[in-house]
Amino acid sequence: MATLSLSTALSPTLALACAPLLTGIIAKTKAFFAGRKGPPLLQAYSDILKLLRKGAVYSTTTSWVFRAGPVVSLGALLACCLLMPFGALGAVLSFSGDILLFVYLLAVVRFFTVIAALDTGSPFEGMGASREVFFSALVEPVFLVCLLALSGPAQSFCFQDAIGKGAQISLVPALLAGFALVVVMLAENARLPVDDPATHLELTMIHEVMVLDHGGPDFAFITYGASLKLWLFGLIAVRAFLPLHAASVWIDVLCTSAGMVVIGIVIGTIESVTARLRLLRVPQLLAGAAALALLALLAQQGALP
Amino acid sequence: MDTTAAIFAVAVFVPVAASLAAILLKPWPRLQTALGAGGAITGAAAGLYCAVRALFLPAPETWNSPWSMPLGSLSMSMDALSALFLIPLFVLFGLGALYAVEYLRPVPRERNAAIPWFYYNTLGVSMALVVVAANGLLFLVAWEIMSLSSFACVLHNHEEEGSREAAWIYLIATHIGAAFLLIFFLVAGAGVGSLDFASIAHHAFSPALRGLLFAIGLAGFGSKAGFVPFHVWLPKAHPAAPSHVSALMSGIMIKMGIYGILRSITLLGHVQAWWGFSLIAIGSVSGILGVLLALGQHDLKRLLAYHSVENVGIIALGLGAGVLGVSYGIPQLAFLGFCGGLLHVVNHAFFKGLLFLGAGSVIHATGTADIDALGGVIRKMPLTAAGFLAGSVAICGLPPLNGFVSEFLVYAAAIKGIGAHNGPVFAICALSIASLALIGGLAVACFTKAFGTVFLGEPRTAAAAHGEAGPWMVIPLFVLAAFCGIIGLAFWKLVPVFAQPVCILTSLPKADIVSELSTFAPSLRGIAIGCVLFLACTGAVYLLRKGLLHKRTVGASPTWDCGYTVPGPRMQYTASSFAQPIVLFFRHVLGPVQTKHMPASTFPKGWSFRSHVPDLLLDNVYTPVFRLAGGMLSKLRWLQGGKTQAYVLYIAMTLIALLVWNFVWPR
Amino acid sequence: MSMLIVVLVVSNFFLLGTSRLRALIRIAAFEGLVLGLLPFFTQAEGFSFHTVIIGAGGMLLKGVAIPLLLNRALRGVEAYREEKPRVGYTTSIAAGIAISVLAFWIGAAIPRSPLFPNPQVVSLALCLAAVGLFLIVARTETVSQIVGYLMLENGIYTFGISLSAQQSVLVEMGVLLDLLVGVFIMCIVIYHINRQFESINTEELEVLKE
Repeated sequence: MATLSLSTALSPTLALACAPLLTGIIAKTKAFFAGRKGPPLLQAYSDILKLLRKGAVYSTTTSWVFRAGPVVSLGALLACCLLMPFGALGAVLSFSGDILLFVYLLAVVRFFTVIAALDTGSPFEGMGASREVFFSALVEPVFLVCLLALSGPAQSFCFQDAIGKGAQISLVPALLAGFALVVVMLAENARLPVDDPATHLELTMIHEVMVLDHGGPDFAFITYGASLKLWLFGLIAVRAFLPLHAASVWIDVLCTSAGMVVIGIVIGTIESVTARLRLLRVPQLLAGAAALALLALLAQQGALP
Repeated sequence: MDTTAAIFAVAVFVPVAASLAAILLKPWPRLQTALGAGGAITGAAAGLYCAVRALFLPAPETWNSPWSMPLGSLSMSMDALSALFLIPLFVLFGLGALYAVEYLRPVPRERNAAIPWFYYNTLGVSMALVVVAANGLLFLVAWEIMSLSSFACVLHNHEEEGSREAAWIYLIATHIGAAFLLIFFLVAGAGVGSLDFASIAHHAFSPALRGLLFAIGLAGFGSKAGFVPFHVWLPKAHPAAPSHVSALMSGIMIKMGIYGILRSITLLGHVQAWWGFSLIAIGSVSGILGVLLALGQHDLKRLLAYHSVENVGIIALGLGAGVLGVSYGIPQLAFLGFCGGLLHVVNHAFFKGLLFLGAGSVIHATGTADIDALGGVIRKMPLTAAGFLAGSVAICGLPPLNGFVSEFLVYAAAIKGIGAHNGPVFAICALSIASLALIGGLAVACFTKAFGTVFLGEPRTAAAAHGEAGPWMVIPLFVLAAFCGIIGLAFWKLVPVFAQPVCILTSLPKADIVSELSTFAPSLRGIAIGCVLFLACTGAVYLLRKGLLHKRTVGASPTWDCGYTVPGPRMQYTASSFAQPIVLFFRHVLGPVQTKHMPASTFPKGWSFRSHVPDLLLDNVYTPVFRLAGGMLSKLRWLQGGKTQAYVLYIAMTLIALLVWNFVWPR
Repeated sequence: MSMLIVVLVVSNFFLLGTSRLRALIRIAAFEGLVLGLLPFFTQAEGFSFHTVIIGAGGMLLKGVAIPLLLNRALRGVEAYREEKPRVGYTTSIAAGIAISVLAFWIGAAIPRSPLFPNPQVVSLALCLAAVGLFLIVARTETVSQIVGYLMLENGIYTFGISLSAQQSVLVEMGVLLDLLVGVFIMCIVIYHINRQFESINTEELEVLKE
């Protein structure tokens, strides 16, 4: 367990401070492809602040579960931030097997988001919730196998050894896992081609439709939580593609930050050039990611060349 | 030692004696209930004392009775492994009795209120006997009492056709299992000349015989544990039984199968690698198929019953990893696997007990177990809903509750196996990890469905709008939820308890186990810290929200209806539609049946849609086979003519035959 | 070399996951080109007359000539995608995973011998051939089936270059020529099937039986 020091406290601070920026970069990229000027880079911050200043309106159908949903979800995501190292900057809490805690905390997020959605009794939110649990049930094995491949020959299953300073992975498995992780990131964060957050038709959405009835501070928590989640997944994907051993911690941090900007641009580009897949085709995409993840694991074991 | 024996005798005799006495007191049903419940709770308390004490004893405590019996002595023994099964048994037994005080009311006038108590108490006590039996014959007798008393419990609502059918299937399944066990002990005892566990454990079986015995034991015990393909009785029997019995059957009785497998591993000694491989393979299939079938169910208790199949699957994944660790000489793998499997046994008893009791409260209040007829129950039953939510979080393996810790251990074992540089072990452990992850994801889907449809939203029918259960039905829920929380957060303190049982299973020296434990301790502490951090973050966000909304307008309005003017509760997503994408994706495995009558003309008169997920194994394999067997056996019907004289004749003939065989037959 | 093998195995999954016939041909062409690079890495002598002939010949035929022929055959035909595969795409990918794992398992189990200096290339050969067979069984469009045969041949070709023996070049050339002729014939057949049934789905051929 890493003790709390300046460098370990920096990784969650960076996540908390910069996560909405990543959303801004994606929006800018999409605006560039559409030939628009687009919202300012810091738009997400002002959105969240504005929501935090509002009151709240609750549906008469809902119970305390609906109010607990965003709170527990954001709490779990904050705990996830404490587990995640930023490149060579260590995580606040690190132990052998912390990846599992991370994955299951994300499942907590999903569980509470889904039951909050079902609490409204709205058919739309039920539909979104149903799709969410289906796709994430398929994503979860892929995600775990990717991380298993990344966590290297030490098999400590610890972020430190998988994507932190202890990472020692060869090129082929890292690349394979990296591509699978990009798919996982897109699916888990409700991005195209799995889900289109920008659509205005409730029937076609997955994540956005689940939070239709939240407003005010609750919705601020959800928006902020979503950007944190994207940040965390982006970080894992970036480090899969960047298994570097920089001489200095700060070079490493610089490279990782540059990687985060690139991943924002990549997501923006993917969102600009692809259409949303039909829902029936999504499992096929995930099966492809599963194949990549498995090959990564085999390659990491030396079964593949 | 004698005092412990006396206290354990109290645990065994008081519940049965009290409920037997209660049967005679038919005119005073309240007194009967008090006697039955009081006996059970006294027995549970006494048994719990013995079990907790035995957990810390280095050597097993054995009691040999002066009575003799054929093929060995009437001996019982309580070691740490038995204790680990006895603790959840007595906890759930006592809490179930408390719960049943209210659950069994009102008693119909024509019924004797003590009868269900007698069966329930006998079931609890017989399971305790199964766990402490140190002789094959005593084990089988206790096993049979357990099966018969639970059969009687399943028949509680014997007026209903469905109940009788469920009990019948259960009786057949349990006796096929028992037949395997009979063969198991006869074959094992034939070589040894005694059925005492001590003698069997000292006997050196040939490798082939050991393998054969394990296979027979796996079939016999596996049918009780509910491994696929022997799981078909579970989804029938659990819903038919009263909920406190379902809790005990699902939480503890199916674990007797697990106990049997573990005990046979200690009896046979020198595990073989293929045992581990087959346990993991069975575990993956049971886990995934169990949760998939659960997703397709509309009956709340049936859904929970299929989840028991899933959870014994997870237990098998852990135990399989443990067996592999022993056979390949990887102590870490052995420790983590067995520890994870055993912890999941305990955990599942707590959270599944909690869920069955919670489901029972809902059924008791609303009179229906059909998920799609419920909804919005949380408003009338907030406490039961909170308890059920805790159970759901725990069974999905989510932090900070106990399910996460045991799944973490099983994962950790599989990860150790992957790093073992052994091709087959790598393959089976990768399978184990992928199936655990899939099971985890599907379990979240299943329990958001169950909790969301039953407790949240608007009531779908009038039945769903009934009041909260009484305190006797709520307190057990919260006690069990507290156990889930304690194990989840404080397991790093509790883990030394598992050293002795794992020591018994692996026959590794205690020092090795303790050193493995200390190398793994940082991870367990890390989980606890992580969970506390999660709770702290959640608390901080809660306070932030409270501060923000302080003195602001908090309004109320209907749910967003997309402009539709007359939204009704029937428009809500049902459990079936929630599960539909998953059921459809796995249609080749599940074979869902849809009966639809779609609107046809411009002004359609009526339409309907119904979906159903059958148990393909029951419908396509067991039913035809048993129908065939029944057809063949019906040719022997003439033996049972209904004439008492004929039966006396049979008895006399059997006696004469035995006498001839024993004395006259030339040897 | 490891990169080439991984690229080939990954592109197999694209083959299994796509329904578009032109994409199928393009991926097959890509695999042919990549396969052509393989002999330069596997053969001990590196660049030599022998490897250049095998590699460049394979690339030219499988990466350029055959795909061009197939594309030309498709041009006259109104078929863009596989309409009714016998095995769904998700299941196909799952089968692909199973095939790959099995192939590399077998490859790892092959005893070390001078005959097979590169067991992983043998695994790749098995993998390609099995995917080819799977495509032939699981797809109904003629073009998909031809691509399946092509993959089967790719497997044999890879097996050939995994051998250290020099004689393989003769075997290889013979197989390649066979294939080329086969594709010619199939292209003509496609043309005729299409003219007869207005579709190139092989299930239409079932009406030809009694």
